Amino acid sequence: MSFFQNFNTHSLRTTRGFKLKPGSAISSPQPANTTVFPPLPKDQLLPQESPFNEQNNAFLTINNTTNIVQNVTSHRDIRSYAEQTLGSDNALINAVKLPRDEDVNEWLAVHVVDFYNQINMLYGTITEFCSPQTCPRMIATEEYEYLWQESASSAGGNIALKKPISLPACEYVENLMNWIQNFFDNDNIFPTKIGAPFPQQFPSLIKTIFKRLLRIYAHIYCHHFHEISELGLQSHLNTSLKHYVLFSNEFDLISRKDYGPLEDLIQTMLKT
Amino acid sequence: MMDIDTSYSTPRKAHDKENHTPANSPTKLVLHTSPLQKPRPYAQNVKLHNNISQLQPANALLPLDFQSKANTAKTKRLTSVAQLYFLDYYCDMFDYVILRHERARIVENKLQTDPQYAGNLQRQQLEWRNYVGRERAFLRKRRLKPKHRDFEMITQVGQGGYGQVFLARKKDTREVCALKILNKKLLVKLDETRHVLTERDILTNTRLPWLVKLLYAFQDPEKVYLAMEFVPGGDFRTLLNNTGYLVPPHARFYVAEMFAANFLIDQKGHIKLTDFGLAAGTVSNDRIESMRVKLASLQDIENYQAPSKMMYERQQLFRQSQGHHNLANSIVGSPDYMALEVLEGKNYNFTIDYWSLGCMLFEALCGYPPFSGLKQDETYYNLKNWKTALRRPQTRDGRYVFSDRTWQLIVRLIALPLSRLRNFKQVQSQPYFADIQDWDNLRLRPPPFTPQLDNEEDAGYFDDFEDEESMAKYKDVFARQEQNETLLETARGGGRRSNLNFIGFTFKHKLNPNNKFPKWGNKSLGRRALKETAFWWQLIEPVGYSLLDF
Repeated sequence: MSFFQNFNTHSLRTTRGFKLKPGSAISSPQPANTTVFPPLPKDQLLPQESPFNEQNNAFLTINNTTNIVQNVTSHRDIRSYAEQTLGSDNALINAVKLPRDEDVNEWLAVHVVDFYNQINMLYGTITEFCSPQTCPRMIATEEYEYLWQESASSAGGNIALKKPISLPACEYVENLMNWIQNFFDNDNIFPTKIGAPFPQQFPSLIKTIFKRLLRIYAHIYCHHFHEISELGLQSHLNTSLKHYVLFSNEFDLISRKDYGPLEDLIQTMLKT
Repeated sequence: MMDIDTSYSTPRKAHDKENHTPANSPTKLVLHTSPLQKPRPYAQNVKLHNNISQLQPANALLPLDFQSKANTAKTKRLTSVAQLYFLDYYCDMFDYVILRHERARIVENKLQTDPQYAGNLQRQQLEWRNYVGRERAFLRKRRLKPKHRDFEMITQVGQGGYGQVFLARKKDTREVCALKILNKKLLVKLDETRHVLTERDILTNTRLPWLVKLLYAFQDPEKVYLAMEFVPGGDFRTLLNNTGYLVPPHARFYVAEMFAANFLIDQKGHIKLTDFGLAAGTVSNDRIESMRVKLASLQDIENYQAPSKMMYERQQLFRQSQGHHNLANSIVGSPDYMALEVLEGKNYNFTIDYWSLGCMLFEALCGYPPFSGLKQDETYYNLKNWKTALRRPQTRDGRYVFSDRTWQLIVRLIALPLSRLRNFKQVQSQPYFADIQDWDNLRLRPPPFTPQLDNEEDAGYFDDFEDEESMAKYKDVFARQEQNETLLETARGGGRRSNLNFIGFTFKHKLNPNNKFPKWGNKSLGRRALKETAFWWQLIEPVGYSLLDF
């Protein structure tokens, strides 16, 4: 795993050395200097040529319908609560709408952080089931593999892109989440002071983040849905994705070609 | 239509046990008063179901080891944290949407009807812009996670092997709190992560007047932070230390509360007593293990001599022995208060807490714990021979220090598991507590001790960490911290990159001032956030920040 050593998008992570030994003066940590945009690593979507595509899917439909959705009796009240709340009058559709005269960037920012947290929670519950052994590649069905591309700064300060690599799903997810977290921690991109503006590139960054976060949903849906549903989290997952696609649809954040394997599912969710 | 599973009937019972959404949440109000949702259109469910089915790989079955993995503490914790998180999130989110809508409507209405604005376009626009600006600021605050730099440190109030506790103030809300800062790498290295997460989960899921409230929990790459309600009175340990011992009615006062606190927690079900507090669960396994080894390695001595029963001798010895007794964690994880069966590696249950409470009552009344010796070895010997070592203290003139009923209680607490008191009812019916009529309203009684505080930042009841003399007693703690740090440095060469992101850790309390939309003129901001509380019950050391080492 030597590539971790040169993983440069982490270089701007805030470090707060705060060690207080007896006798030293009490001090609060200084804000880290985060004036530069971390370079955007570019990862690529590789639609693989699979000879089985069509038949494969058809086969699956027949084969799998019975054992996917059942069980789940725990936390009934939470489930029913979420269901009732979300099922009612398309509350979510209204909830994602930009309130009158609100700054759209502020609205995007608060939501991208929320979705990040939701995905972090959902993926967190299946970390035991998503290891380099079970998922050696970041795939969503056999058709799609998502590759990670890291960037390394060369001597001249130019950003060189490395060759996209195939990573175990868990490492891909971790890289992606860290990559996003770095933006969140950067005061110039996600301003914290009241009144501080968002950078000009903000909307396009949000689009990139949304496109990539969807891949984690895709991996969970395609390869861990059994586990999720056994853990009693399928309605949470469905709710989360529906909220996610309604939001990105409202603000045109993900283009249809990036739906990947989730295309049909997303279309169904958008129609309801 | 998000769910595909309609195979069970939806229970109507409101869920209200574990989440903290304020009772006046409009979302809940709507939910609890509205009739049951119509079942979703069948076709829609099937469609969604089919969509998902199509995504599954051929012959996908649950992995064989699913059950064992699903039952790991980690997965179980994350699952319930996630469920709670989603419930809380959507309650909160819909509350926000509903209330924001409401606020906008009120402002719009005002602009139309209030003669101050009606007809004056410029004024209307100004006022509207004003309102929108406040909404935007509010929205931004919702997004922000607490950070270390949001807090200004006032003074240090605790020190442990994993980190420190500071009296701190959150700059924007002006909330005063005890900020516990722990080193992540150390926690991971020493396998203590679970304890921190347990502490965080207990404090976020439970609201008991006896428990220190958690205000914020957050992390950065190196540290985890728990910002807790500041309990200015210090802990029970410090109180004992300052007074030497308590007069019997005062001791009874506190001991009754400790039992009551245990009982309440027990009642709640989801907290096992052994998870925290005085019991062994909060002490690191390493620590217990080393105590076990210590106990097991004791040579059998031919003629074991029980410690003196003379109170003044023992008090003196105890004072001399302060070296091996570090105050920062003397109660939790010290053999002085630990039931023998724990250290013998036998099965034990929650009644080990009663043993600990017995030891604390003993100490509260005479100034030393029952098995204390001059050296730590002596304490272990005394514990091993506890039946003979447990002696009813006497004064110089031969009188007993403890009344009969006090002693009667102590020997039912410090006792073999089978003859130990087993439940709260049994405790209540002990003659020792005969004077306590109303167990339900313990907290209404006037406390024997009320901290005299200059202001809300007064840390006078805690040890002064600037003062070298008072730091002498933390020698052990500092030594261990240093040892831990060395451990980390030597381990650093390994190069294995571990993920130090604790999932499901961040927490903001719902009553935090940033969670309320500022009223006209920002009146509610900057207001003192901490409720005035009676301090007396807080003297009891529940899961507070004095227990740095778990």
